[in-house]
Amino acid sequence: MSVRGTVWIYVDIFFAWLSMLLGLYLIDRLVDLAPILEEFMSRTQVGVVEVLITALLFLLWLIAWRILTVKAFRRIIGS
Amino acid sequence: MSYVYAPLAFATSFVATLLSTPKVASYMRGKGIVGVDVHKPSKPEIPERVGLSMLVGFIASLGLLCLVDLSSASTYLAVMLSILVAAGIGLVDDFKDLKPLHKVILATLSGLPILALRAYEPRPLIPFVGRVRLTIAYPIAIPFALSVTSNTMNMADPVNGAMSGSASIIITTLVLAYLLAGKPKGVLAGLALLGAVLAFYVYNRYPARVFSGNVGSFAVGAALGSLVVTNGLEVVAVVAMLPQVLNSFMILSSVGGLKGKTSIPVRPTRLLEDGLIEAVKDPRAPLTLVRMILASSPKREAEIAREFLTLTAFSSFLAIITLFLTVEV
Repeated sequence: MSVRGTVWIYVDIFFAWLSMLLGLYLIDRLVDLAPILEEFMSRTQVGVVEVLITALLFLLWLIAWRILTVKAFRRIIGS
Repeated sequence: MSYVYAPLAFATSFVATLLSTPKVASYMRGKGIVGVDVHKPSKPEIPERVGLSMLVGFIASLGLLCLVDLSSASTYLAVMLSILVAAGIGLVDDFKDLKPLHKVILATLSGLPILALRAYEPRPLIPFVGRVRLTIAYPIAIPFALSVTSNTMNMADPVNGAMSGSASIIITTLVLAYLLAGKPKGVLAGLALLGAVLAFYVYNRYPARVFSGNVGSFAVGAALGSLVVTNGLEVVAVVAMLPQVLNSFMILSSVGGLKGKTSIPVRPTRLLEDGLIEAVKDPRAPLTLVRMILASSPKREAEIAREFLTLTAFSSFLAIITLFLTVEV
């Protein structure tokens, strides 16, 4: 059956989802830059900086996901 | 606002698309607008650009909602106009074969109706984090978000029924999410979109009798994007679309950016004589979701299409879990 050979894609998507949620949880619990940034910036500027940081983290998450997926794919297709 | 119009929204778009698809297909075949179904050994010619019939369903249902639900008319109008702009760009692409970068830039225009009608709420709900106030960044991001969803769905149409089937699953998930989150406007708009896409899937599933063309895939992508931007639950939608995101991101990163089909030296898959499709082992071939599905062994087109939909159903299940992890639900 086809699903057996594609389980790794389900695992890949599951880990992408889990890491996304874990990242959001850690950001919420551990990182709150607003009080520090508000010393130097207005409320609006802090919002923009937070969006940029989030975008950067999203990009890093995408790159990490890509590396893992390509490695898994090469393992499967090479075997 | 009540859910009393929900059956009407769904039925109008479903019936309009179901009835108009054979007529559009017949017109396209008569004009010689056909595409070769490359994944079948007999290489049949299938009517192209039939995705236009989905527009009939979208417009009929969203137009009706504008009339019966006046308090949310600007939202339905914004969704309808966004879809029309994206479909126009898709149609130009069907005729002129636009460069990938031009497609990405032009598709941002589909976000303008939402901005013009101010049919958005710049406070997305993020799991664990809660509501985030993005008064400046959110409207700036809307055109790019619409371009991403349009181009993502355009790239996620490799086998019969993959695009229309997976879009049906994603929209069903969003309708369910809006229902659970108590967003009737989202439920109605979602059902108006779902009816048309589901009716089109009847003709587009394996073995396909019609092809959507870029006009159809761009319209569906904009429909998804505009539904989410105007009704919220952005992260839920991203999770539901993870297989499509994976597909487009892997293609872009493996070919080194936005490149046309002609500049890619090796095709990702190959049709074997017995009708099976296998993944090409050449490392220069783009890494697509279909190539990943075929990595372990060759498969038939119907199996690939089924796998595509099962993956979308799996990510949609994760999307519903994500909904429950957001606050205020």
